[in-house]
Amino acid sequence: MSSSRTQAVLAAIPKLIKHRPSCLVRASQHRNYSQSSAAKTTEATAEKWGLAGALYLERLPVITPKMTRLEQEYKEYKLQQEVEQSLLSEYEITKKEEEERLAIQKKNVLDTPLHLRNIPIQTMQDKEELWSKELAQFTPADRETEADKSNDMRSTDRKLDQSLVLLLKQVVDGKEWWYLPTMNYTPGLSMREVAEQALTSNCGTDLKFRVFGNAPSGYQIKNYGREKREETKLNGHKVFIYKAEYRGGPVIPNEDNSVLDYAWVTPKELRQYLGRTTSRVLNKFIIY
Amino acid sequence: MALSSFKQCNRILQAGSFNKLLCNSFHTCKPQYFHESGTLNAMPMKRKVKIDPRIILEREQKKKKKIENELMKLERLERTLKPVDEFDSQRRLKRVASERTRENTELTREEKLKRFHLEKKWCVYSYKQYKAVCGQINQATKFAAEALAELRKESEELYVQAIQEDPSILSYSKSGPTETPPIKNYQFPDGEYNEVTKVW
Repeated sequence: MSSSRTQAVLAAIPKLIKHRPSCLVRASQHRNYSQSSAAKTTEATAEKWGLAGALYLERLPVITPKMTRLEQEYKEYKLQQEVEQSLLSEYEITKKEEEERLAIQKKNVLDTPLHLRNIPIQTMQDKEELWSKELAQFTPADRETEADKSNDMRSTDRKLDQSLVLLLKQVVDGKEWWYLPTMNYTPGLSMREVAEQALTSNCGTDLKFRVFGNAPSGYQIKNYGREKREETKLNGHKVFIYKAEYRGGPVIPNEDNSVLDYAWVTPKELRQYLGRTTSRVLNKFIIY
Repeated sequence: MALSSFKQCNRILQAGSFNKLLCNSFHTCKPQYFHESGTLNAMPMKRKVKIDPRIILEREQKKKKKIENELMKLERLERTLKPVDEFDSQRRLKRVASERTRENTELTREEKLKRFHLEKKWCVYSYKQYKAVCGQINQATKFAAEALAELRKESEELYVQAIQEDPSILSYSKSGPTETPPIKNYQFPDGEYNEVTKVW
């Protein structure tokens, strides 16, 4: 990048976001942070990093989480209190009146003439029976699905009360390892587009998802071992993670990109698939 | 019509307070011509004054305008809402509230203690929940800011692209999770309707 171009780009920025000073201080302590690219190119000893974009695809929860015992008790107490502190409603009053009327009718059955006995009026009780019958006709779906029982890691129907993350099993440098869908940075694209392509190239174009904003939600720095460092002349690579919401569609792993398997994993199960550092990084922007 | 002199005299004599001295040739002042009218039962009416019809029209128009202006003012007042502080409860409900009291049994001492302890536990629980969520949100925003700083270190151009506004977020909407999941291939029942198809 030429310096004039960067200056033009800098001039075009209307407002820069204010970084919290602590993280900038920490960042500058580790690396030689310099604004102008001219200084960068002259410092040959500056650390070079490869860039990559990853997508944290999340299937948000479909059903409410189960209530704890305290929540259940409190809910019942509050409902009870609400009933106690309220006045009688129209429905309750008419119901009371009807009950009284029926009681009187039963007493004075012999007094009422034949043609007035047993007039079928639709009382509140009848209405209630009708309504409960109508309700009984509808059976809602189970909260625990088949996928829960069979523990099918590839389906999105598992654990409906929690959010699920898509993880891919890839072969990198001869080793198999689980990670978020990633793609190395290709010049000419923005980082968000790199992340989006990371998903579509690895999992097929039928997936429907939505990324929130142009800025990354997190990042992870991976340092290379000595051999790789000499091979690629890079210290490692930085992965910028973008958060996205899963909207539907199947995941078709692309075997050309050496994607062997995929799994939809809850945040609490992440540790089983990813290493300690990676799961710690991801936990930073998960909101349970 | 020429009356006989006898009839003329008769008429003159019949009129009550007629100055009979007129008959006497000695009197020299002018005749007063007092006479009694027939009995009137009310004050005589004012003379009818004919007003110009244009003026009548004008007066009616003015009255119309006045009424219309008052209507407009009332409508304007109707549109301006009453401040909430001035609202009073519905008068009908006040009257009826006494008839609608619930017959509540007095709570036992154990029940009261149980409720008291529940409230205390709930207070602590909800506070902890709130703090946890706030902490998570703070951590996430801090981490996102760090990621942007790291991106900036790598390349300014990518950083500038990352801080662009994305207006499509504004149209985002989401309805929350439900008690039970949606039923797959659910047949929606028809609503209630009146059959109006003609039968031949």
